[in-house]
Amino acid sequence: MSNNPAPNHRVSKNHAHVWAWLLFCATLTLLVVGGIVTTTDSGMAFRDWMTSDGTFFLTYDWLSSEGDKFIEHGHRLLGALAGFLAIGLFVVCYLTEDRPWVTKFSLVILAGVILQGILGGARVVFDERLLALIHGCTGPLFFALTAAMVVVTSTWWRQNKPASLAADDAMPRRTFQLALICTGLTYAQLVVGAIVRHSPDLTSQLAATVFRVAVYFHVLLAFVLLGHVLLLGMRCLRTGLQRWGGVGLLGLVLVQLALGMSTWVVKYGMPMWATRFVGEWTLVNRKADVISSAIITGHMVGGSLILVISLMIALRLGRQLRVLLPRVTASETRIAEAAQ
Amino acid sequence: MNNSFGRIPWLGVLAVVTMLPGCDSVDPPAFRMNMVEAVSYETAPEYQQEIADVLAALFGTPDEPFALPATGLDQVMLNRSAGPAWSDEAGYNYGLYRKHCVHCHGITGDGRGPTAMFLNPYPRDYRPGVYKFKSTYNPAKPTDDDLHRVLINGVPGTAMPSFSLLPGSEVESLVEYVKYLSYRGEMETKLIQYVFDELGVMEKLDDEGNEIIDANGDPVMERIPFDPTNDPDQREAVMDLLAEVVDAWDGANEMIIAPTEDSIPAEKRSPEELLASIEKGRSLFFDKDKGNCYSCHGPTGLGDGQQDDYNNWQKAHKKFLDETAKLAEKDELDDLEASLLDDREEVAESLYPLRNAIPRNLRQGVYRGGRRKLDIFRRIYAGIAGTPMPGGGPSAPGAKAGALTEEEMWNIVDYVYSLPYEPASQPQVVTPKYTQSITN
Repeated sequence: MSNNPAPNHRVSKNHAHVWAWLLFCATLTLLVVGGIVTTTDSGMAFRDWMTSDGTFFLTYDWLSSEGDKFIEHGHRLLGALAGFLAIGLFVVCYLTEDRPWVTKFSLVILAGVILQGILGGARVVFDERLLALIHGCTGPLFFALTAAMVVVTSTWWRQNKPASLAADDAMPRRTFQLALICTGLTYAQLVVGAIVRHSPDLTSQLAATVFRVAVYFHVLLAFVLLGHVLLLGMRCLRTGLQRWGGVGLLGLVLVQLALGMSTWVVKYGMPMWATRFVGEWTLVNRKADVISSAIITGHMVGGSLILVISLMIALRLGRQLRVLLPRVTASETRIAEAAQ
Repeated sequence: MNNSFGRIPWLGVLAVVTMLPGCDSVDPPAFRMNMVEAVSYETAPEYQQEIADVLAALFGTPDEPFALPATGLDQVMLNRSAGPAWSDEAGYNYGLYRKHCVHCHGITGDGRGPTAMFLNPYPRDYRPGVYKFKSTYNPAKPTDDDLHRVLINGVPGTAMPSFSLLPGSEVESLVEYVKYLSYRGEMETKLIQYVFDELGVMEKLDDEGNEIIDANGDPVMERIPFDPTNDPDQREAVMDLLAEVVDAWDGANEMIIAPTEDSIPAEKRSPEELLASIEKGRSLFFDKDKGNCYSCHGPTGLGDGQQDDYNNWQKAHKKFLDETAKLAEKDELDDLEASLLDDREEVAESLYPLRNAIPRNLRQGVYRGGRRKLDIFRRIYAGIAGTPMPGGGPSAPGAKAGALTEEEMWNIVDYVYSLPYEPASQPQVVTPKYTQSITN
């Protein structure tokens, strides 16, 4: 340790990391409210964008609005907040970050939030469900980018404190690959889930077929994903690699399973096969009630959280394994590596 | 930067995003024809188009509904329910049907929305104008209050949710739109039947009413178009058919089943009185000549009696499928039959799998049509329209009395109410005679 250089000032005051966290939290909130917009079908509370009922959206009297308008405008304001935070992140990275690829990555995030905003706006202007579906698919993707930014701007990552894992050690490498597979599968599941969620509102004659196929795929992928995520979580716990991530994944995937089944029940009632075992319920679903909305939206957010945790595990393991990731270029870190 | 993020992929993404809106909105949403009826009545494609045109003239489109004053439907409410979902500046929501109902009941109200196949039971097909849970006699239409009640309470144990959190004006608008879809659906069937009965290919006549003969000595044939705009007789016929539909709905309020005061049990009955009523209800439940409830709901009330029957919607599909299978089994088909078989098979493939009408398990306390005693009484009195559940009372005001008196119906109501609390291990008293009829 004595050979290590003194902590770099710019590293110890990790502004980029703070901005990345702020953006991550804002995006999570944005995702939750976006989910509520879809659950309550509030997307067309205004028929204009970037104005809201003819008023520039930043000056619209949001707190006086109610119902669909309150939800949709809240989503718009959170989108704007994410946009401002993404600008701030880029500026901070530009000014303080000594890794060019991180600065470029912050620019990608800024472009992402702008594109996502335009997509959301186009959904309103064209009143197009299909764009809502795409907007719903790209949302978690943007969320994953912000999560990646949190990881790569962390002091842990920059200082390269954790001991590198031997690249020829099979277990970390397999765990890393498993995390990558989980990330990919989770995103695929989110896309299929978005189709399940949005296709019933399409007016095309193909909507029924699309919904049917999507439901079967969603259930199939759920089983595949459950197996992979359980394996990843348990491997994280057993090997001690990314233990926190493993605990989070195991907890989330079980909650997600329960939320998924509950979502079906509160939206479409008890499936016929299930009534043979549990009988009919006296439960009457109530359209737009808080509990149903929370369950449905929670299922969507749960999927996004599994996505980012899998991604974070993959990134951190990749960092430790030194694979598939850009080489660290900070001069002090190179010195630290040479000194080891 | 330029190396990492070339322009071409971004342009591709932009192009895809620009083109995608067109995928779902090339054609505005349209009502779909009732092909089971159209093919059953061998309606030619030209007539199908003409019927669709007449229906469009009478009822408009899903985005721009229209109701003739003769229907009595409220155009403002229809406008609120139809079209895509949006909100005006005052916060009034529009496109209510598209927002809340279409994914199950379908744009035409045919119960074939995108989610329908997964639901148990299948969503209601509004087009025949038959509704299960209502306060009126079995063949009568439901009242607006009945439809309103179903929307507010939902249907327990099914996918139909309660809309009690929606503003009252929105629920009323949805009721109006559901009626509108039923009017349209009933008219569609009547027009298909009218075309089958009255129109078709006939001998061409000259001005004096004589057949025109061609060079081979055969009569010259011509298709009589269905064109009420230019044919006053057809116009009058169409308006008569519309009046039939509207009159049935308008008369619903006069068909409400109101139990007589004397038959209604007292509010505060002693436990002995209640037990006596339950005992009477039990014996009626198992009485083959009176209630005969056990034959469907089972000796234990678990709904495990007959399991093979269908509701009317499924019966219509079964009949269509059976007739199609019968036609397919024919050894030799002429051109017309072969063409008809193609049409039938195409429609048959689009139908959902048949499902039996499974009697309700009365031990769970789940009553789809409402759990008030009055609701159960009306189910027993009128049965459930469109299902094998028969009524114990007369079929219309002043009609011949049914198998049960009103007092007996209240006894059965008491018994039904007691069933969820009766231990399932306590076997019901079933005489050998009745057990035999079950196994048979």
